[in-house]
Amino acid sequence: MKQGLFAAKPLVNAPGCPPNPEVLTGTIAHYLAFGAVPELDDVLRPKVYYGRTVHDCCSRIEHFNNERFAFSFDDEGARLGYCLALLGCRGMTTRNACSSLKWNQGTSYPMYSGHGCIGCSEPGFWDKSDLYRDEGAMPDPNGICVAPPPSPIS
Amino acid sequence: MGIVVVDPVTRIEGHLRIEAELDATGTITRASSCGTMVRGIEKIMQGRDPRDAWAFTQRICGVCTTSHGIASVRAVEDALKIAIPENAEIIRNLMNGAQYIQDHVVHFYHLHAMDWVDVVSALSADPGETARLQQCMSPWPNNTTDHFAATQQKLRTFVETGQLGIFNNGYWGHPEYKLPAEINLLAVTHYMEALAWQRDIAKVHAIFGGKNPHPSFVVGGMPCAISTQDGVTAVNALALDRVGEIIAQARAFVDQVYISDLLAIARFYKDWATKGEGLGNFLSFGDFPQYDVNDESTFFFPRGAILDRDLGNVLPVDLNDTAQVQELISHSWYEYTAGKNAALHPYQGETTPRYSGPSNTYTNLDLDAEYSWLKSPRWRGYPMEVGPLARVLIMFGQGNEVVQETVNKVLAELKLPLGALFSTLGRTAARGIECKALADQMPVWYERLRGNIADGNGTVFDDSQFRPSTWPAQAQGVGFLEAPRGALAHWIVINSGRIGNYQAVVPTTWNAGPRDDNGLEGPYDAALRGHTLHDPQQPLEILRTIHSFDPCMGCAVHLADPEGGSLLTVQIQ
Repeated sequence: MKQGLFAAKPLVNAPGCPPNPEVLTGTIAHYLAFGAVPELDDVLRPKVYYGRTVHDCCSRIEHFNNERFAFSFDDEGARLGYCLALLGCRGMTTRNACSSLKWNQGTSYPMYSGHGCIGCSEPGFWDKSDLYRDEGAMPDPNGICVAPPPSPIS
Repeated sequence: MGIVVVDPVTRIEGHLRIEAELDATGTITRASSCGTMVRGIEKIMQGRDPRDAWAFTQRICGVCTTSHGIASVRAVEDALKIAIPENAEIIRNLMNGAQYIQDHVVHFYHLHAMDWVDVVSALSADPGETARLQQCMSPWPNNTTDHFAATQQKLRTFVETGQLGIFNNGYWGHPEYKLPAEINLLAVTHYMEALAWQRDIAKVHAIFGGKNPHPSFVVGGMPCAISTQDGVTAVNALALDRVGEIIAQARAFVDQVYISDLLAIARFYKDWATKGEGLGNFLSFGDFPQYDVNDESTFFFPRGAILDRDLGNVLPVDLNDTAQVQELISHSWYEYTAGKNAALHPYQGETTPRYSGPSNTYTNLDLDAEYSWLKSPRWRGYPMEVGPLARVLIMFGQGNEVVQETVNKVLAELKLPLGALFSTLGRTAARGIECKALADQMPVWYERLRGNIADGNGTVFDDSQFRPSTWPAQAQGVGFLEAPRGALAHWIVINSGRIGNYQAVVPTTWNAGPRDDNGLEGPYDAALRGHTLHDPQQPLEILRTIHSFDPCMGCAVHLADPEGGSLLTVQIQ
């Protein structure tokens, strides 16, 4: 949704299936604290939450950087936490806060628990391609960052 | 004589309308439940990769998340004859079990309790007396005067500012509320505690599946490879310890708060042990294999059917038998190629909408014509109740000792006969009884998983048939699951590696479906018949019984306009 019916009311897009609840409450809290919505990108998503891809801060990024991939959901690489790009992970093209904020009060997120990102905060994600045959995704050479160390489950 | 309409029914999942016809004494002579919403999940599935189906179908509902996900992967595994590793079966049990525990506690407090607990009355309670009550009722440590006074003060602040918030629009002060003020305060306090607590049980899904709602599944097992080095993936030794702690805390909450409150409140509403169940037919597909999904004899919840309240005669159920599970559309907004009167087994199922209802605002639906987006599922032609009452009755009837003991204990404490189970109160008690039974069983599965891992078996996924090149040209299968609200199954037909047909028959469809042209009512309609409303303007009695079924309408209706045409416009003002 690009604009609301009423210009006077600010519109913020917080996509996700479902949206991360900390994104929703954080956006509202920002508005209550500062009287304005947080800085938004060109499709009205708060940059603080949707400014990076989930690949950028994924716990498996070092394996991606060193081309260590899991070829199956339970092979030796999977058990060592190797990158899930070859199993359909859409993290490189999905903007969301899942790998930094995580889910359920910092407990985990899909890739940490072994399944690739399905891209649920991107427009039209259900129809982009089959989940496990993601021929369209190419590794993004700019998507490299130092990931935070995986935190113990809290 | 008049018609009471409750639309929307709130404190449920989804969109439900009840029309109840009353006689001169305010007693319901006929009730009709109507599903007022559709979507399109089954149609969307056609042509897709079967391995993707779990992700789509899980979005049928975020309240009973995991239920459709597991049913879906089971359907594909059944079709392709894939056997999953034992650890994957155990993890699915733990995830489904955690789902039940969260769901039943949340249902009791946040969806059902307000029908029995007068929130405003809690304001006149004595917090000290409430604390003394809690100390008698259970060992739950939050039992001080200050604890209850704090809730009371919070409530008072809401009421005094005129903003009742989540407690708005209740029938507070209705004479059918029977609880003393102290029990009302106790229950409202636990409502708040449960809201905080339920986040923790959900972490079982987050650990094994990445997040709640909508954790990850996969055809062939579970995708959560167990970490051979601590901290590398989500399921490592620390996380498994955490799962054990969460299970222990959940058991304490269920025993010391939920069941304790359930019994305390039930004592005051024993008149609800004689009404609210009108069919006498009960169905369960069974679940929680230990540990082979194809071996019914290992299921913790047995599969079976009861007709006419005949507990001693639990009948066998076969999901592949085309004469057993069928869907009728006599009074539903759908059409069948073979005509309106056809009864289709889901392998031959069709979900083709044909809306013939009102085009704009309306007062009443035409109950002699089509009036619901729900189909009418039938078992051997019979309407069947599914859910906690069905499961507990089947377990009781088959001689499950733990369940018999718990049921007898509850009936003895409440001084009620066995027949009391066939009622709104019975259904509500059954929900608690099965929740406790499951919570007590979770450690058994958990210890088995840890034992397997300690013995060097950490396998959670079988890769051998994951690729479509290993599949036959044609296959069909059924994936079942007992969800918190009842019997669920997905039937799939796979042609050349893509989904040819996909039909989901879900618990609330069994319970809330419209009557059929053989004159047979569904469970909701039969349950409401005979209820006398104290005040038709405040139909609390209807809510008490409907809520006892724990409606999940998002699951019950599953179709939208296949051309993608808009059926609803929402204007935000």
